Amino acid sequence: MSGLLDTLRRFTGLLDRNHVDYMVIGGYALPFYGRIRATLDLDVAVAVEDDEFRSLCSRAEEDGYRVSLGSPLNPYCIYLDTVTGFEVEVWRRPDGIRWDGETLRRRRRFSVEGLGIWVMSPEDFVVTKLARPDRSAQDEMDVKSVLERSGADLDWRYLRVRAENAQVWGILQTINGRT
Amino acid sequence: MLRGLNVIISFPKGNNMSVESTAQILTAIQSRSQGVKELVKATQRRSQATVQLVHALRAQGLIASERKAGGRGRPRDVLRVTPLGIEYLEAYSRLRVVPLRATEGELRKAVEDARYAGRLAARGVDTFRAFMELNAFVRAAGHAT
Repeated sequence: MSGLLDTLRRFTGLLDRNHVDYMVIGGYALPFYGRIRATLDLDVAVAVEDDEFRSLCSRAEEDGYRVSLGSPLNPYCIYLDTVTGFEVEVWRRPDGIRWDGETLRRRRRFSVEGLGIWVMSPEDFVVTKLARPDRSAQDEMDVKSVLERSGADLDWRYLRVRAENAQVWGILQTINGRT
Repeated sequence: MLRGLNVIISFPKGNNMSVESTAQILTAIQSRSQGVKELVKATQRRSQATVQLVHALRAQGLIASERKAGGRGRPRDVLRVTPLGIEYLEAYSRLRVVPLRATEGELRKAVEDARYAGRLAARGVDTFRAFMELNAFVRAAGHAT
Protein backbone atom coordinates (compact mmCIF):
# COMPACT_ATOMS: atom_id res chain seq x y z
CA MET A 1 0.00 0.00 0.00
CA SER A 2 1.30 3.47 -0.80
CA GLY A 3 2.12 5.79 2.08
CA LEU A 4 -0.47 8.23 0.81
CA LEU A 5 -3.25 5.68 0.72
CA ASP A 6 -2.19 4.45 4.14
CA THR A 7 -2.40 8.05 5.37
CA LEU A 8 -5.90 8.33 3.95
CA ARG A 9 -6.90 5.01 5.53
CA ARG A 10 -5.56 6.00 8.94
CA PHE A 11 -7.13 9.44 8.83
CA THR A 12 -10.58 8.37 7.66
CA GLY A 13 -10.40 5.64 10.31
CA LEU A 14 -9.77 8.30 12.95
CA LEU A 15 -12.80 10.28 11.71
CA ASP A 16 -15.03 7.21 11.55
CA ARG A 17 -14.09 6.16 15.08
CA ASN A 18 -15.00 9.64 16.29
CA HIS A 19 -18.23 9.76 14.27
CA VAL A 20 -17.10 12.80 12.32
CA ASP A 21 -18.73 13.39 8.91
CA TYR A 22 -16.12 14.20 6.34
CA MET A 23 -15.42 14.34 2.64
CA VAL A 24 -12.23 14.26 0.62
CA ILE A 25 -11.87 17.49 -1.34
CA GLY A 26 -9.28 19.01 -3.69
CA GLY A 27 -6.81 17.05 -5.78
CA TYR A 28 -7.75 13.65 -4.33
CA ALA A 29 -11.37 14.13 -5.38
CA LEU A 30 -10.37 15.14 -8.90
CA PRO A 31 -9.58 11.70 -10.41
CA PHE A 32 -13.13 10.58 -9.68
CA TYR A 33 -14.67 13.38 -11.75
CA GLY A 34 -12.06 15.00 -13.97
CA ARG A 35 -8.47 14.67 -15.06
CA ILE A 36 -5.70 12.78 -13.34
CA ARG A 37 -2.82 14.91 -12.12
CA ALA A 38 -0.23 14.34 -9.45
CA THR A 39 -0.46 16.09 -6.11
CA LEU A 40 0.68 15.48 -2.58
CA ASP A 41 -1.95 17.75 -1.05
CA LEU A 42 -4.41 15.54 0.75
CA ASP A 43 -7.37 17.75 1.76
CA VAL A 44 -10.25 16.58 3.89
CA ALA A 45 -13.23 18.68 5.00
CA VAL A 46 -14.77 17.78 8.36
CA ALA A 47 -18.22 18.74 9.63
CA VAL A 48 -17.54 19.68 13.23
CA GLU A 49 -18.23 22.62 15.52
CA ASP A 50 -15.44 24.54 17.27
CA ASP A 51 -15.41 22.50 20.47
CA GLU A 52 -15.67 19.22 18.55
CA PHE A 53 -12.77 20.30 16.39
CA ARG A 54 -10.58 20.95 19.41
CA SER A 55 -11.54 17.57 20.80
CA LEU A 56 -10.78 15.92 17.44
CA CYS A 57 -7.34 17.54 17.45
CA SER A 58 -6.67 16.12 20.93
CA ARG A 59 -7.76 12.63 19.93
CA ALA A 60 -5.68 12.82 16.78
CA GLU A 61 -2.61 13.70 18.82
CA GLU A 62 -3.22 10.64 20.97
CA ASP A 63 -3.33 8.67 17.72
CA GLY A 64 0.08 9.78 16.51
CA TYR A 65 -0.71 13.03 14.68
CA ARG A 66 0.95 16.36 15.21
CA VAL A 67 -1.59 19.14 14.64
CA SER A 68 -0.67 22.66 13.60
CA LEU A 69 -2.76 25.61 12.47
CA GLY A 70 -2.55 26.61 8.82
CA SER A 71 -2.92 30.03 7.31
CA PRO A 72 -5.26 32.35 9.21
CA LEU A 73 -6.79 33.28 5.83
CA ASN A 74 -7.58 29.66 4.99
CA PRO A 75 -9.15 28.03 8.01
CA TYR A 76 -7.52 24.63 7.97
CA CYS A 77 -5.25 22.63 10.22
CA ILE A 78 -2.38 20.46 9.15
CA TYR A 79 -2.36 16.99 10.65
CA LEU A 80 1.06 15.42 10.34
CA ASP A 81 0.75 11.65 10.48
CA THR A 82 3.92 10.70 12.31
CA VAL A 83 3.45 7.05 11.34
CA THR A 84 3.47 7.60 7.56
CA GLY A 85 5.20 10.99 7.47
CA PHE A 86 2.51 12.49 5.24
CA GLU A 87 0.37 15.52 6.04
CA VAL A 88 -3.38 15.97 5.80
CA GLU A 89 -4.94 19.40 5.42
CA VAL A 90 -8.12 19.39 7.46
CA TRP A 91 -10.69 21.99 6.48
CA ARG A 92 -13.65 23.11 8.51
CA ARG A 93 -14.84 25.67 6.02
CA PRO A 94 -13.87 24.78 2.47
CA ASP A 95 -13.87 27.88 0.27
CA GLY A 96 -17.29 28.75 -1.06
CA ILE A 97 -18.98 25.74 0.48
CA ARG A 98 -21.90 25.95 2.82
CA TRP A 99 -21.57 22.89 5.02
CA ASP A 100 -25.10 21.70 5.39
CA GLY A 101 -27.22 18.58 5.11
CA GLU A 102 -27.34 18.96 1.34
CA THR A 103 -23.54 19.03 1.02
CA LEU A 104 -23.30 15.86 3.07
CA ARG A 105 -26.18 14.19 1.26
CA ARG A 106 -24.53 14.82 -2.08
CA ARG A 107 -21.05 13.58 -1.23
CA ARG A 108 -20.24 10.29 -2.88
CA ARG A 109 -18.89 7.06 -1.54
CA PHE A 110 -16.05 5.42 -3.43
CA SER A 111 -14.09 2.29 -2.73
CA VAL A 112 -10.38 2.40 -3.31
CA GLU A 113 -8.47 -0.83 -2.84
CA GLY A 114 -10.89 -1.94 -0.15
CA LEU A 115 -10.98 1.47 1.50
CA GLY A 116 -14.38 3.19 1.45
CA ILE A 117 -14.09 6.98 1.39
CA TRP A 118 -16.52 9.89 1.17
CA VAL A 119 -15.72 12.32 -1.61
CA MET A 120 -17.17 15.78 -2.15
CA SER A 121 -19.81 15.93 -4.90
CA PRO A 122 -18.57 17.13 -8.30
CA GLU A 123 -20.83 20.18 -8.07
CA ASP A 124 -19.37 21.27 -4.72
CA PHE A 125 -15.91 20.43 -6.03
CA VAL A 126 -16.38 22.90 -8.88
CA VAL A 127 -17.63 25.62 -6.55
CA THR A 128 -14.88 25.25 -3.97
CA LYS A 129 -12.20 25.29 -6.68
CA LEU A 130 -13.53 28.51 -8.17
CA ALA A 131 -14.19 30.19 -4.82
CA ARG A 132 -10.60 29.92 -3.63
CA PRO A 133 -9.27 33.38 -2.80
CA ASP A 134 -6.00 32.37 -4.45
CA ARG A 135 -7.62 30.62 -7.43
CA SER A 136 -4.98 29.63 -9.97
CA ALA A 137 -4.93 28.55 -13.60
CA GLN A 138 -4.61 24.99 -12.32
CA ASP A 139 -7.87 25.30 -10.37
CA GLU A 140 -9.62 26.49 -13.50
CA MET A 141 -8.12 23.63 -15.48
CA ASP A 142 -9.39 21.20 -12.83
CA VAL A 143 -12.87 22.68 -13.15
CA LYS A 144 -12.73 22.51 -16.92
CA SER A 145 -11.75 18.85 -16.74
CA VAL A 146 -14.71 18.08 -14.44
CA LEU A 147 -17.09 19.89 -16.78
CA GLU A 148 -15.66 17.91 -19.69
CA ARG A 149 -15.71 14.49 -18.06
CA SER A 150 -18.72 14.74 -15.75
CA GLY A 151 -20.67 17.64 -17.24
CA ALA A 152 -23.55 15.49 -18.42
CA ASP A 153 -23.97 13.96 -14.96
CA LEU A 154 -23.86 17.22 -13.02
CA ASP A 155 -26.94 18.56 -11.29
CA TRP A 156 -26.75 21.94 -12.95
CA ARG A 157 -29.62 23.36 -10.96
CA TYR A 158 -27.86 22.65 -7.69
CA LEU A 159 -24.53 23.76 -9.13
CA ARG A 160 -26.01 27.06 -10.22
CA VAL A 161 -27.52 27.77 -6.81
CA ARG A 162 -24.27 26.96 -5.03
CA ALA A 163 -22.15 28.84 -7.55
CA GLU A 164 -24.35 31.91 -7.27
CA ASN A 165 -24.16 31.79 -3.49
CA ALA A 166 -20.38 31.67 -3.75
CA GLN A 167 -20.47 34.35 -6.47
CA VAL A 168 -18.62 32.20 -8.98
CA TRP A 169 -21.44 31.49 -11.43
CA GLY A 170 -20.09 34.09 -13.87
CA ILE A 171 -16.59 32.64 -13.98
CA LEU A 172 -18.04 29.13 -14.22
CA GLN A 173 -20.06 30.12 -17.27
CA THR A 174 -16.95 31.65 -18.80
CA ILE A 175 -14.90 28.48 -18.27
CA ASN A 176 -17.73 26.30 -19.53
CA GLY A 177 -18.03 28.36 -22.68
CA ARG A 178 -14.31 28.28 -23.57
CA THR A 179 -12.64 26.01 -26.18
CA MET B 1 -27.12 37.78 -1.95
CA LEU B 2 -24.56 40.23 -3.20
CA ARG B 3 -21.72 41.16 -0.88
CA GLY B 4 -20.57 44.73 -0.71
CA LEU B 5 -24.01 46.24 -0.39
CA ASN B 6 -25.34 47.64 2.82
CA VAL B 7 -28.58 45.78 2.31
CA ILE B 8 -29.28 42.10 2.19
CA ILE B 9 -31.11 41.30 -0.97
CA SER B 10 -33.35 38.31 -0.65
CA PHE B 11 -36.43 37.14 -2.43
CA PRO B 12 -39.68 35.60 -1.32
CA LYS B 13 -39.68 31.86 -0.80
CA GLY B 14 -40.17 29.97 -4.02
CA ASN B 15 -38.70 32.75 -6.14
CA ASN B 16 -35.61 31.43 -7.92
CA MET B 17 -34.37 34.84 -8.95
CA SER B 18 -30.63 34.87 -9.23
CA VAL B 19 -28.15 37.66 -8.89
CA GLU B 20 -27.61 37.42 -12.64
CA SER B 21 -31.35 37.68 -13.37
CA THR B 22 -31.62 40.69 -11.10
CA ALA B 23 -28.71 42.37 -12.84
CA GLN B 24 -30.13 41.56 -16.25
CA ILE B 25 -33.50 43.11 -15.44
CA LEU B 26 -31.95 46.16 -13.80
CA THR B 27 -29.63 46.69 -16.76
CA ALA B 28 -32.52 46.45 -19.20
CA ILE B 29 -34.57 48.98 -17.23
CA GLN B 30 -31.59 51.28 -16.75
CA SER B 31 -30.76 51.33 -20.43
CA ARG B 32 -34.27 52.53 -21.30
CA SER B 33 -37.18 53.38 -19.06
CA GLN B 34 -39.87 50.97 -20.08
CA GLY B 35 -42.98 49.15 -19.02
CA VAL B 36 -43.26 45.46 -18.23
CA LYS B 37 -44.36 44.59 -21.76
CA GLU B 38 -41.23 46.11 -23.28
CA LEU B 39 -39.15 44.51 -20.57
CA VAL B 40 -40.42 41.05 -21.50
CA LYS B 41 -39.36 41.73 -25.08
CA ALA B 42 -35.97 43.14 -24.12
CA THR B 43 -35.03 40.29 -21.78
CA GLN B 44 -36.75 37.52 -23.75
CA ARG B 45 -38.29 36.09 -20.60
CA ARG B 46 -41.76 34.70 -20.03
CA SER B 47 -44.21 37.47 -19.23
CA GLN B 48 -45.56 35.88 -16.04
CA ALA B 49 -42.05 35.28 -14.73
CA THR B 50 -41.07 38.84 -15.60
CA VAL B 51 -44.07 40.26 -13.76
CA GLN B 52 -43.08 38.24 -10.68
CA LEU B 53 -39.48 39.45 -10.95
CA VAL B 54 -40.62 43.04 -11.27
CA HIS B 55 -42.78 42.66 -8.14
CA ALA B 56 -39.85 41.17 -6.25
CA LEU B 57 -37.47 43.93 -7.34
CA ARG B 58 -39.99 46.59 -6.44
CA ALA B 59 -40.48 45.02 -3.02
CA GLN B 60 -36.72 45.13 -2.53
CA GLY B 61 -36.60 48.79 -3.45
CA LEU B 62 -34.36 48.19 -6.45
CA ILE B 63 -36.87 49.55 -8.94
CA ALA B 64 -39.83 51.86 -8.81
CA SER B 65 -42.60 52.65 -11.24
CA GLU B 66 -43.88 56.03 -12.32
CA ARG B 67 -47.12 56.81 -14.07
CA LYS B 68 -46.44 58.70 -17.27
CA ALA B 69 -48.97 60.26 -19.53
CA GLY B 70 -48.48 59.42 -23.19
CA GLY B 71 -49.77 61.26 -26.22
CA ARG B 72 -53.03 59.37 -26.42
CA GLY B 73 -54.78 56.83 -24.24
CA ARG B 74 -54.34 55.99 -20.59
CA PRO B 75 -51.16 56.94 -18.69
CA ARG B 76 -48.77 53.98 -18.46
CA ASP B 77 -46.49 52.69 -15.71
CA VAL B 78 -42.83 53.07 -16.57
CA LEU B 79 -40.15 51.33 -14.56
CA ARG B 80 -36.96 53.01 -13.37
CA VAL B 81 -33.96 51.84 -11.37
CA THR B 82 -33.71 53.37 -7.89
CA PRO B 83 -30.42 54.60 -6.36
CA LEU B 84 -30.31 51.31 -4.44
CA GLY B 85 -30.71 49.42 -7.70
CA ILE B 86 -27.84 51.41 -9.21
CA GLU B 87 -25.72 50.54 -6.18
CA TYR B 88 -26.61 46.88 -6.74
CA LEU B 89 -25.53 47.06 -10.38
CA GLU B 90 -22.25 48.75 -9.50
CA ALA B 91 -21.46 46.06 -6.92
CA TYR B 92 -22.42 43.39 -9.44
CA SER B 93 -20.05 44.84 -12.07
CA ARG B 94 -17.18 45.01 -9.57
CA LEU B 95 -17.67 41.37 -8.59
CA ARG B 96 -18.28 40.09 -12.08
CA VAL B 97 -15.04 41.35 -13.57
CA VAL B 98 -12.98 38.35 -12.56
CA PRO B 99 -10.31 37.60 -15.10
CA LEU B 100 -9.73 34.05 -16.12
CA ARG B 101 -6.31 32.83 -14.97
CA ALA B 102 -6.00 29.90 -17.35
CA THR B 103 -5.13 30.43 -20.99
CA GLU B 104 -7.09 28.90 -23.85
CA GLY B 105 -4.25 26.42 -24.31
CA GLU B 106 -4.35 25.38 -20.66
CA LEU B 107 -8.10 24.85 -20.78
CA ARG B 108 -7.71 22.81 -23.97
CA LYS B 109 -5.09 20.69 -22.21
CA ALA B 110 -7.49 20.14 -19.30
CA VAL B 111 -10.16 18.98 -21.74
CA GLU B 112 -7.73 16.53 -23.36
CA ASP B 113 -6.67 15.21 -19.95
CA ALA B 114 -10.29 14.78 -18.90
CA ARG B 115 -11.12 12.93 -22.10
CA TYR B 116 -8.17 10.62 -21.54
CA ALA B 117 -9.31 9.96 -17.95
CA GLY B 118 -12.81 9.28 -19.29
CA ARG B 119 -11.43 6.79 -21.83
CA LEU B 120 -9.45 5.07 -19.08
CA ALA B 121 -12.57 4.78 -16.91
CA ALA B 122 -14.54 3.43 -19.87
CA ARG B 123 -11.89 0.72 -20.31
CA GLY B 124 -12.32 -0.29 -16.70
CA VAL B 125 -9.22 1.45 -15.34
CA ASP B 126 -9.58 2.69 -11.76
CA THR B 127 -8.74 6.36 -12.19
CA PHE B 128 -8.03 6.90 -8.50
CA ARG B 129 -5.57 4.05 -8.56
CA ALA B 130 -3.97 5.55 -11.68
CA PHE B 131 -3.74 8.82 -9.76
CA MET B 132 -2.02 7.12 -6.81
CA GLU B 133 0.41 5.38 -9.18
CA LEU B 134 1.13 8.69 -10.86
CA ASN B 135 1.79 10.25 -7.47
CA ALA B 136 4.11 7.37 -6.56
CA PHE B 137 5.93 7.74 -9.88
CA VAL B 138 6.39 11.48 -9.42
CA ARG B 139 7.68 10.96 -5.88
CA ALA B 140 10.07 8.25 -7.06
CA ALA B 141 11.29 10.51 -9.85
CA GLY B 142 11.92 13.20 -7.26
CA HIS B 143 14.17 10.84 -5.34
CA ALA B 144 15.92 9.39 -8.40
CA THR B 145 19.57 10.18 -8.80
